[in-house]
Amino acid sequence: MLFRVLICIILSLMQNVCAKEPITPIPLTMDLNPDKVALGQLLFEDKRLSHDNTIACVSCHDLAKGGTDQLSHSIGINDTEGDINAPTVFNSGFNFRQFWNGRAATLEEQVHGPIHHPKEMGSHWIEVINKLKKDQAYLKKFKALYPQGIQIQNIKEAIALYERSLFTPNARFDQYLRGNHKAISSDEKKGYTLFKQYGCIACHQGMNIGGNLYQVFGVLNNYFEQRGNITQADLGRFTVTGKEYDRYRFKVPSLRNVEITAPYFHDGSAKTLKEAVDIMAFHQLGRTIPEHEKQLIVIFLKTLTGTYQGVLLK
Amino acid sequence: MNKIFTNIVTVLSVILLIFLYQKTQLVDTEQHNQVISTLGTLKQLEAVWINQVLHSRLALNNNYDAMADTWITLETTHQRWQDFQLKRIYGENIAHAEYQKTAYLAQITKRREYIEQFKSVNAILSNSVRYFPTAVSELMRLEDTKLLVGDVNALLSAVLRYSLLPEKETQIQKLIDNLQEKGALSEQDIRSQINIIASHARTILKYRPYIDAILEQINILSTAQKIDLLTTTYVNLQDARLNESTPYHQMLMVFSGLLLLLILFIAYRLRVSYTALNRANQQLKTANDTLEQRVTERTRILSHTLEQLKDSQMQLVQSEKMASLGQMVAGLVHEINTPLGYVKSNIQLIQTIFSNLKHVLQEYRALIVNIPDHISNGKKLKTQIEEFDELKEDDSTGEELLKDALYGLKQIFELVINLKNFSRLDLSNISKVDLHEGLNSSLLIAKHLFKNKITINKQYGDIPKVKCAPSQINQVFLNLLTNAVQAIENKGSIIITTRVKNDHVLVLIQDNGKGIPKKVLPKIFDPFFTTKDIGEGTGMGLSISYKILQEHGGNIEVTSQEGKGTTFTVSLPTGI
Ligand code: HEC
Ligand code: HEC
Ligand SMILES: Nc1ncnc2c1ncn2[C@@H]1O[C@H](COP(=O)(O)OP(=O)(O)OP(=O)(O)O)[C@@H](O)[C@H]1O
Ligand SMILES: [Mg+2]
Repeated sequence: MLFRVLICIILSLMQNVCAKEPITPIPLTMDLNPDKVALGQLLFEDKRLSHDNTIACVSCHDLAKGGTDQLSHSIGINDTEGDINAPTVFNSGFNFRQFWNGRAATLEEQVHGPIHHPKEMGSHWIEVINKLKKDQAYLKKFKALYPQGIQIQNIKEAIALYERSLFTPNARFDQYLRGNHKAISSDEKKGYTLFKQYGCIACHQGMNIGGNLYQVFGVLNNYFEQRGNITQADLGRFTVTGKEYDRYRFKVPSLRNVEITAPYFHDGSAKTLKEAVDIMAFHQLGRTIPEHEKQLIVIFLKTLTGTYQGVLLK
Repeated sequence: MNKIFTNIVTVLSVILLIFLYQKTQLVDTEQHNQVISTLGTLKQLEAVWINQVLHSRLALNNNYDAMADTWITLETTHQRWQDFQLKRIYGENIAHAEYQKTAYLAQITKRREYIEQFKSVNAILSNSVRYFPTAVSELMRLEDTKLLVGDVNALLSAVLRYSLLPEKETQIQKLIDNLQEKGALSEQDIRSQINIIASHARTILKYRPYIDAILEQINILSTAQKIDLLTTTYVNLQDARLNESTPYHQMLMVFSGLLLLLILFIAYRLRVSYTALNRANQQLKTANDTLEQRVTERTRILSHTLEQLKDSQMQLVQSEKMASLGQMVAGLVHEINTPLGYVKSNIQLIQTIFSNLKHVLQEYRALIVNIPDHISNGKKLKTQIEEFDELKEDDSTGEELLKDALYGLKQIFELVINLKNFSRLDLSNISKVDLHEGLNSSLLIAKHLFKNKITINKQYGDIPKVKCAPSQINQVFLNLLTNAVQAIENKGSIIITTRVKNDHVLVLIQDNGKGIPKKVLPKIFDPFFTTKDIGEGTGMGLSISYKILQEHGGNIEVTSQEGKGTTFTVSLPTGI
């Protein structure tokens, strides 16, 4: 018994000695085939991927709006309102799984989803490929990059590659992590310390500050009972695995660029960061955070806004 | 018939070879090795993965990125495994291996689910354990909580102990209920803080044993054994395949051995015919070579003959030239000789007459003294004799003039004799010749070239007469002298030396002219080689000279120093 305690103490000491920050910066560059990225962008912005040629990926993932649509629930074809909030496509390549409930393993796999979703693009592959094949420019571009030409797999790969190119390095906080201590103010540093002390860091960690584990929404206090009106989308991973254990379980979202991706949560219920922090503190940590500390955490979260192609996101 | 048979045999053996080869190719060792190494990678990755789980449990890992990355690597490795064409590598008998593979994938998927659970639970548990003491001190900081101190502390130490060693759960449950009961009557803020503490304590109670259970499950679900089994299965399949292909291997060996023998035999046959061919070729080549040799030989002889022809033509021209020159000179000599003869005898006659006249006049003078002036014409006579005396005063002059004339004539005679000598040579054949004579006559002919600028230095030695054609030898001397004169630009001298050396007579003609450049030296004996202006030289002089000496069994040599001068040495055999 004593021996075990000792080991624990020694280990926790060791942890302090070689203390590493639980958050790591985003790499400044990535090696991606620029031609495929360019083709992926064309597809991402192409409305022909939807049944009635009205909606492109970019309609719901507008880079000018932080890679989201800034709506609580997305609006798909025929002005249909979706069931869930659209997460940002920025840095989605760093997530261990895609979608709130992680039902797609990779970005490639994910592409299938919105194209077929009746409330999003309402189309299917045969339709999409037929439309694309009528376009000489696409025929040429695909032929140049993929020997087999226009195929499902190749469309998926090009789009996924484009999405991987949507990474946002050099946030002020990343600069701080890289050793520039002046990159963030002392209040922002305090905010970071509180973020760690309160235990947000237990879930929001790693390079993407989230995006690498699942967690029940409402660990210590049931969120959905309080909110009421539970929908299919609220079941989270339960809809994927069918296991009671996974009810209300979601992929912990990345907090990168969180300043510009409001509204928050899968239901888009939190309109401001302060609200989101409040909800997190109560439901995930079982605590209440004093007003001024909340403020500090919020200003810390705002240091996570990165740059895309060298320009700070807005 | 024979040919058809050969063709059939060839086709059949190729087909057999391909068949045997394919049968032996059944065993793809490289692919098999890759499959085995993929399994090895999987095992290793899983070990890493579990290590990362334990690190997270002990809070040595402070984020889950590494774990997530390992899973992605595992998935891509699974994909690689999936991509192997196992049926091609191991044949149709892979049902069992496939079953084992499915079992493995199911297990690792399950393991992964537990690991995901671990990540969730670990985060929550560590948060609550870390927060719990803070939560308690936050409660104690509130007013009117003194009554609760004992219960709170009991709960705190029980929970912390529990977090290390999950035992006595019910006791802690009681402590929680106790605290909540006691606080029920307190102020709102105390109550809610107690609730927070309670909920965290319950979270710890719930998740602390849970995480142990998860870790145990993760441990149980280790796939290492399954991977080992799979490895064995694949290795067995591979062995079976190897066994299956062994007879084919042997057959292939035997067959290729036979083929090798056949090829050796063919090679031997080829070699034999090649040797024969080679020999024939060799013969042909020899014949060719001989032919070529003969042709060159012929060409050489022909060109030699041509050269000889050219030479004799040149000689012919030369002797023709000399012959006509000789005839002309002979005619000229004859024409000059006749008048010259009587001019000479006349002048000699005049000389005699003149001296007789002198005597007569002296007699007269003696007589005239005695003659008186009044005698008729006496006076006239006297004056005439005196006049003559006046003339007498110059009588030496008169005699001198005649002497001079005679000398001149003698010189003309000499020239004519020399000309005669020179031309006679053409007519004459070989005779004993005094070379000095030849040199002198050549000098005389060349005299007009010397003008004032050249002095001749004769150093004649004691040499015997030489058997030769004097006209030709003289021509040699004349050529050499002409060249020497032409080589001297301003003033200079020519030294002519004669001497005996062994059984040869040497004639050296040495000038101190401009000399001959080294580059030019080997060419000077070539016909038509000249460095002189058109009209001045034909380039034939030395070549003819050379020719002449060759014919006499003699030689002509040259030494020269540019800027200093040239020496030509003519040597002629004395002849006995
Ligand atoms: C009608 C609006 C709409 C359109 C059009 C749309 N999306 Fe989405 N996207 C969403 C919503 C809503 C979600 C969340 C769905 C969920 O998690 O169940 C989402 C999720 C995603 C995600 C997952 C991000 C994460 O972090 O999990 C990616 C990646 C993505 N979309 C890419 C695309 C691509 C590529 C297209 C075009 C082929 C596209 N989207 C079209 C609304 C849209
Ligand atoms: C137990 C794990 C956990 C902890 C601890 C936690 N979060 Fe979260 N966080 C989540 C999950 C899960 C979601 C997604 C909830 C949903 O929308 O379904 C989330 C969502 C958020 C969002 C909204 C992101 C978006 O784009 O919609 C913010 C902001 C956030 N958390 C901030 C915090 C802060 C600040 C803390 C600490 C006070 C914190 N979280 C603590 C799990 C956690
Ligand atoms: N004594 C010499 N000094 C310098 N050069 C000489 C002398 N003798 C001959 N040569 C060189 O050799 C060349 C050949 O002489 P060769 O007597 O054969 O012909 P040539 O004097 O040029 O003409 P040709 O004698 O027919 O009038 C001359 O042109 C001259 O350059
Ligand atoms: Mg000459």
